[in-house]
Amino acid sequence: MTYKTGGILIENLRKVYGHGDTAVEALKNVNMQVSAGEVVGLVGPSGSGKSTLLKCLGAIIEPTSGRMTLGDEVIYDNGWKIPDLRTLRRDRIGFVFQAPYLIPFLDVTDNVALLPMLAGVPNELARQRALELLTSLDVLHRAKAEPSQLSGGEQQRVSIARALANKPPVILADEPTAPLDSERALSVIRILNDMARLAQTAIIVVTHDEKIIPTFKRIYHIRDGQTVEEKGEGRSLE
Amino acid sequence: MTLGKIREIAVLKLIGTHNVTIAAMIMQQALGLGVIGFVVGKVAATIWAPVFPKFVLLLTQDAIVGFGATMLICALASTMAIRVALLVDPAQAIS
Repeated sequence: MTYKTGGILIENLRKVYGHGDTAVEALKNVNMQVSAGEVVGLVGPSGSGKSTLLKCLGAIIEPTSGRMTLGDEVIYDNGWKIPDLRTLRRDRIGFVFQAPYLIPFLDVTDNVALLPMLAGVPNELARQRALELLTSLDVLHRAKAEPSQLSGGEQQRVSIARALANKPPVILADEPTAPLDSERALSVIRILNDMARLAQTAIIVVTHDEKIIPTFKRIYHIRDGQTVEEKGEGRSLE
Repeated sequence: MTLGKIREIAVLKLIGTHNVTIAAMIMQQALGLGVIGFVVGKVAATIWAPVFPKFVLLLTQDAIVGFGATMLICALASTMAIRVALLVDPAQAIS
């Protein structure tokens, strides 16, 4: 597949922990490409390098070598090209976690509006953007509720809205369906596909959830620090 | 309270919240609790004072000093929580 700009491109990414005799090569020349509007699965057994790759993609840890392009900009080329990684994560990368981890003392709207506010968007505009996202994710009726008053599925939808709030070119979803039953898990994947298409965001779903793996059109298998691309079943979500 | 929210703090850091913002949130919470504690204490003391046999005269100035001391203690106590929060690794948010 040819990489279209706007998503994420990973070239020859390596990560080595430690030095000398104790060095462990967690990632070995990983290559991935996810275009804007596309959802791909990243699957692999425990210890395969999944978490390390996710941390590198999320600018949480520094790779040892390689190149990463986010949107149209090279962010890593044998060294970070962006000095402020927090701002990079805030503005250019969305995160969806296994549990929603919403801020308990903020209502649903402010949980979503928080990131644009931190990015300097005026409060009213940030809240308006949050309400638009809550509308598209069908949780607008819970806009004033506190996270503890929401069901698990609603909380996960709010966390997806939060990930989209700053219109990032890429979203990293870390086991987003693990605690959900089949119906809710497929609903989350349906939402991620809809949002990827609507917001033209590249979404990488790290998972070992057998319920959702058949829904991906493309899958990267990671084993012993190396990725292999495979065509997925792309099972219909209707 | 902060130690019970390590994962949330890791998430805040991971999604790009700066340390100053996190520190301000913790300080705000500590001072808020201080205000609530002071008001509850002051109201309770006023209500219960007649029940006690000894009369202690507390002037408005004493209350102001007491309030200031409460805020100072809360602010100092929050620095410990802030220190813990700033040491949280954002990678802890990843499963």
